[in-house]
Amino acid sequence: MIQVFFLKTLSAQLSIATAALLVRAATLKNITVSVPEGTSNHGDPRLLCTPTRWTDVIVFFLGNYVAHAGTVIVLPGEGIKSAAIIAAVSLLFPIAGVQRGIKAIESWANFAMTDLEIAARAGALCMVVRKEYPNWIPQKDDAMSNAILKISVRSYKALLAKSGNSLHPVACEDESGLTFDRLGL
Amino acid sequence: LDYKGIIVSVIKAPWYEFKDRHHDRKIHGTCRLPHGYTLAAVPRDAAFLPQAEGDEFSLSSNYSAIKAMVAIAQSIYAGTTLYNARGDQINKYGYAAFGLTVTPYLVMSIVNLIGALITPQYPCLYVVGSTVLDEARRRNECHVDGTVGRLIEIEASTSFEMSSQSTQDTFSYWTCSSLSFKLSSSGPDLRARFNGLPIAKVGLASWPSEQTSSLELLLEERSGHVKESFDLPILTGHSEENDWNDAIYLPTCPLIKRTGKANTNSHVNRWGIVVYDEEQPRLISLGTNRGASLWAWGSRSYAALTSLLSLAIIGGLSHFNRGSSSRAQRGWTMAWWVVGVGIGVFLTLIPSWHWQGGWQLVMWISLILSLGSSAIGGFIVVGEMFVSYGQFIRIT
Repeated sequence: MIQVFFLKTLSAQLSIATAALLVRAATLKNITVSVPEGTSNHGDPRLLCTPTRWTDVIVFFLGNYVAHAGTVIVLPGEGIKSAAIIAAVSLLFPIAGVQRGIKAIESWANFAMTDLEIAARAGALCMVVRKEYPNWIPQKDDAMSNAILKISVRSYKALLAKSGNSLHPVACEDESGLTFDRLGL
Repeated sequence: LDYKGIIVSVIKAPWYEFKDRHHDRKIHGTCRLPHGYTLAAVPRDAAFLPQAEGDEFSLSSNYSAIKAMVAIAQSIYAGTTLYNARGDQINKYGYAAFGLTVTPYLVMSIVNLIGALITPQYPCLYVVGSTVLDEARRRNECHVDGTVGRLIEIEASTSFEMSSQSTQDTFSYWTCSSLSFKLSSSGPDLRARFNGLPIAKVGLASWPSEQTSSLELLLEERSGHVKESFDLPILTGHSEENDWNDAIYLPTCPLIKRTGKANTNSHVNRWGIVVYDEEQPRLISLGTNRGASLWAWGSRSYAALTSLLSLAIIGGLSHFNRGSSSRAQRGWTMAWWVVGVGIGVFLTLIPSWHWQGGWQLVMWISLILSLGSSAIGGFIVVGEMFVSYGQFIRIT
């Protein structure tokens, strides 16, 4: 950020306490150099402040703020729309990307053993699931596990009444297996 | 009494809570799912069937070198800006100093850099094989290609828990968890065939009193190995059409073996909770994905800590002195910071940006613009301070 090269225009002769840039801190001496109008030291003999040019402002904003938008973590397979929005929001509010960043660190993905586990930790895997009622429809040959059967006593009595039709105890270890007496109901 | 049949209904799996979050995401290969199926994220600590010996399996991912370099460059630049803010600039502008406003950007760029080094990037999502995928493939208009690996699924144990808020005396039901069944058809009717059904004895333990709002039901598993096999007619209509609301409830996803702390077994035992009321039939599962919710809170508190870190740096350097900053300078820079933290924490509550329909997009944009005004104001104030302060060289 050395501005010495830009001292040509509109220079006023200013005598300021300036030391050669590489001189040790203890020794400051007065020399006369040309600096742009508006140069000051803000009352600190160790500062040399030259006026800001518009390019300085642009570099300041690009380097400090805009560059950050390019560092935001993109989710696996994330579309351009979503990625652009999070980048834009991060440009205004950098903390907006914190969840993605923390998740990426917390996942500890690269320390998993297999490629699949790394991908799972990175959130790059998905699976097919059933939609909740009423979307899913049963079909012949579906085999289910971890299901719950809910059937009322009244239903069961009705089933027993029609037994042979709706309810088929196909194989029972003991014949009295499915009676209410046995169940104490 | 006439028995019409039983309905089969899909309910939320208590062991894994997921949100539909794959709109707008690219899927590897082809993935056209039949009606009644959707995609959900695989738990991050899922276990997979081992590959056959000698089979090298690799999944393409990449580390974005450009992203890492941008993050390093930004961190150095912002670090320099912050370093130069010490002294005169902070004396002049206090905690509103323009050099301090880069702090959250610096902190987040470092977080993103570490994150990008630890977690590779994937150009798309991969579908993993499972029994539900097999089931979906048996249906028409299912076309899924390019799956990777296969999940390990486990059967829930046969524990019972029951509660009821019903005060009626007709609440005794048979319930069982972890039952497996197969649907078969005899003629046009679909039937559920149960094999090896463990049937519980359900009896009344205590009547509800005024003190307790819930009923305790005494449950007793029948001893020995039960080998009944029977089938029930399936109703495919709505539950209202079924007089007695007899039902087979299926979980949305199978119980998946996981390697992490979220021990699946602790959730399994909570499966199979039926709350039945003739007036208001409903099923409540007490199971929650405890591991995941703890994780979510952990993630949220880390997010909050990261936000506070930037505040700590600002406070540490400026001691929260006002300097000779104007009220506008302090107001805009602080409003910018506060809104930023608010948005950061808010975004941990919604997993990714998705919207249905244009009005939601409009809503998001207007929300961002209205909140963004604080950032725009901050930028203007920073630019103004930067210009009036000037470019400086520290002579040491």
